[in-house]
Amino acid sequence: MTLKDDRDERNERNERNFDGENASAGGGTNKNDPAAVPENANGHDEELVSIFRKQAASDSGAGIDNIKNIEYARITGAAKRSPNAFYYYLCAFLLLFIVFMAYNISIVANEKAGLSPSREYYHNAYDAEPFGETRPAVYDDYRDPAAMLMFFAAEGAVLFILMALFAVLVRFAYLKFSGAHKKISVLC
Amino acid sequence: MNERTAKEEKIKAAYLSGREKGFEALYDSYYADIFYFLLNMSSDSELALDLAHDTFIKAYKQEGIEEYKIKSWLFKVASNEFFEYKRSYYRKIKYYMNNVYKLIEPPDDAEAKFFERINGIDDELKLRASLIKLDEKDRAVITLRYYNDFSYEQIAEALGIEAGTVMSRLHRAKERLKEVMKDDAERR
Repeated sequence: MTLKDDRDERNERNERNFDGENASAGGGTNKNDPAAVPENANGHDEELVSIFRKQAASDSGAGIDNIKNIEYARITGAAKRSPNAFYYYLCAFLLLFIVFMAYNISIVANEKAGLSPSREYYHNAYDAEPFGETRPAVYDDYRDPAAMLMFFAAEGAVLFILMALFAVLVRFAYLKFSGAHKKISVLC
Repeated sequence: MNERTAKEEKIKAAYLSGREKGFEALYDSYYADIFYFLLNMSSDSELALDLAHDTFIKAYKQEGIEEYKIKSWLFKVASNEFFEYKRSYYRKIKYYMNNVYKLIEPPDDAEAKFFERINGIDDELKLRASLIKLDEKDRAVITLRYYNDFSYEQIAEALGIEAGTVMSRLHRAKERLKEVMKDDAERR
């Protein structure tokens, strides 16, 4: 037996079982049940048919044609735009992050080499003297790698969020002032 | 050849003239059906508009549409968009961001009037207020059967389930909808 034959047989079995259940549950096929709702030849419940038909008739009078044309322009416009906007954003973020990291690293390197007179860049972010069990990230020439990593990660996260907010605001401004299609998603 | 098949043949023939023509024929034939299906599923006219927008973007980008059963395929995409929206936080955020944008730039007059008419119809008929109380999967089946007039096989194709499952869900959905409508009528 082929898979198709198995499925046809299963469907026929389900139909027979369903009809039996329908009759016993008071559905339209049981003529002795006073609560049975008449069903038409297609097995439709007449009451529900009339309710749905009334809804469909009212909906057809709502005038969807007015927005159909507007939506057509938006859909074809949106579909033709580049799908790679997110990757451009990610590249821009990584580039800025690398530049920012390079700047931070060069400051640290200069301080270590004694080329920079100020040790305030990281010094202010951490306690100068250890107290209790807490070892600060920076004291004398020591910089705790784990804490520095967290610091750079936090800077990166802030940069990411600020860039995302900036991208959204730019998009809002573009859509408002350019007269472009209004429903284009602002996130992609 | 029945009316539905003639529509599908017309769309397939339009696709032979080019993707733009094919998409225009598809959009013209099925936009209203898809929109109202999504409206019945979500009871939110703006969400239905957004989801219909995304559905037709996918249809626009689809290559080789002629080998599918067009109507079932399109409804399958629409129902997947709806269920994806319910599951995905990102989709919800995207939808809310679009709504935030509307505070800056209000929608077209035509769109605003259309939503007003739809809301007026819903306030009067109350069917969607009852439908929203059904389980989503049952709601999809009963909407496709009674509103969009799908056969069991078409519903099974559109939702990716067996025909037997369609019948059992439809039976359950009918019973539940009648209960809900009765309770709502008593409360009014």
